[in-house]
Amino acid sequence: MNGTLITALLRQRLTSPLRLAFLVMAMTFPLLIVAADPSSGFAAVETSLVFAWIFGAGMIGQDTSSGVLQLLLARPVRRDVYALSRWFAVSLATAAAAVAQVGLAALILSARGARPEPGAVGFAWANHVTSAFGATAPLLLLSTFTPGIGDLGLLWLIYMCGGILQMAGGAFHSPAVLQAGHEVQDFLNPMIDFAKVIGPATSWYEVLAYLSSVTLSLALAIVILNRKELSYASAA
Amino acid sequence: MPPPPELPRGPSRRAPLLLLVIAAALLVARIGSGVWEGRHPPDLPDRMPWHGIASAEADSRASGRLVLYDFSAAWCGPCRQMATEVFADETSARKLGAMFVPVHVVDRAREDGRNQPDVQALEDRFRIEAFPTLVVYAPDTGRHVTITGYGGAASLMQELTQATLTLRTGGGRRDSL
Repeated sequence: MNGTLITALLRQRLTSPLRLAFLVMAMTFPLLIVAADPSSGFAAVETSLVFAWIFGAGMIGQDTSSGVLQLLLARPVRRDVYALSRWFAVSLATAAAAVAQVGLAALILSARGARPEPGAVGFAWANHVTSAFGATAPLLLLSTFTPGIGDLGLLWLIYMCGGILQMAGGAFHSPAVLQAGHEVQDFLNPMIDFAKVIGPATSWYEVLAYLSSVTLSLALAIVILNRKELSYASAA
Repeated sequence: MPPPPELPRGPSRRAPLLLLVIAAALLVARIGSGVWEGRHPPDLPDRMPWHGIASAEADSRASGRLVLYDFSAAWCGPCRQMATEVFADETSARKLGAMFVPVHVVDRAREDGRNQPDVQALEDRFRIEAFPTLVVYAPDTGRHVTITGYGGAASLMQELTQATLTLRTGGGRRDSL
């Protein structure tokens, strides 16, 4: 990890008006729902994936298309350090936003007379932090393929394909196709439901699937970035 | 003049060998645990107060609650996931039991070649094409709301609450009877 790269990305993201506008919307609307319907609990503030998209879109792709990556890698910066620093910075920002949102939701729920259990707040925080570090890893991988914020489009496209596979699996009664669709979507949005992991039916698959998706995404992202040939004369 | 900072040595492209090895090991463990957990599903009690197909509509009229048909199949992974996370969960099961007259409808077409007549009639009536599918049905108006797939306990509970509101305010689709 490189502190300078992490700080630079955070500064870049927090000074982008468009990203900030989306951040305010993603932060506010779910909280309004919580205020309007306290019975929904924390279900309305499951927005860490959206925060990951807001902070993460174009993690590497934007640097590639703007020519920053070519200049940056002309300096003594290792590509794996660059990739991991980008991922860590985006994950940190996503986790901070999600934790703040859950905290605000807990305050709103308490004010509306639906005070959540401390355990529920703890589970929500743990789920959101792992989701933040999880959802940004596949985005990093996809960002190595596409310039600009094409990674987001690619992610939605693959996610839709996963949904289509699930529908086809259900319609044609094929458990393998159904499971394939699930795996595709789980890979793009790795998360751990701690209530499930600690609950009566402990699922190690849940934990292993998360860790596997994150490490695989990071490793492949570095491999692809290492193979990338950057030219000062190239547009992408 | 201070000496220039020492630059890191070595190539800028280093293969993430350790990360690749860990990722490969975790992938193998993931597949193994997935297969194992699929073959050994957790033995959790089903806490839902299921009603029979034949008596559901009469029970619904008597209690004023809507009917909740849960169409599932033994081979369907998401159905098992839903059973574990929702129907075996005491709070969710109690809430669903208070909101609905729940009916568990298991498709056996894949295993037995055909379904029981009452199951097949319900599947035809609500045009069930995939599993899991939940149908919230109001016998008084003949309208229903269909929820296909399972996206987690929280979102399912939200969808069911929304479906109830839709039917209570005169919305939903007419059934095909």
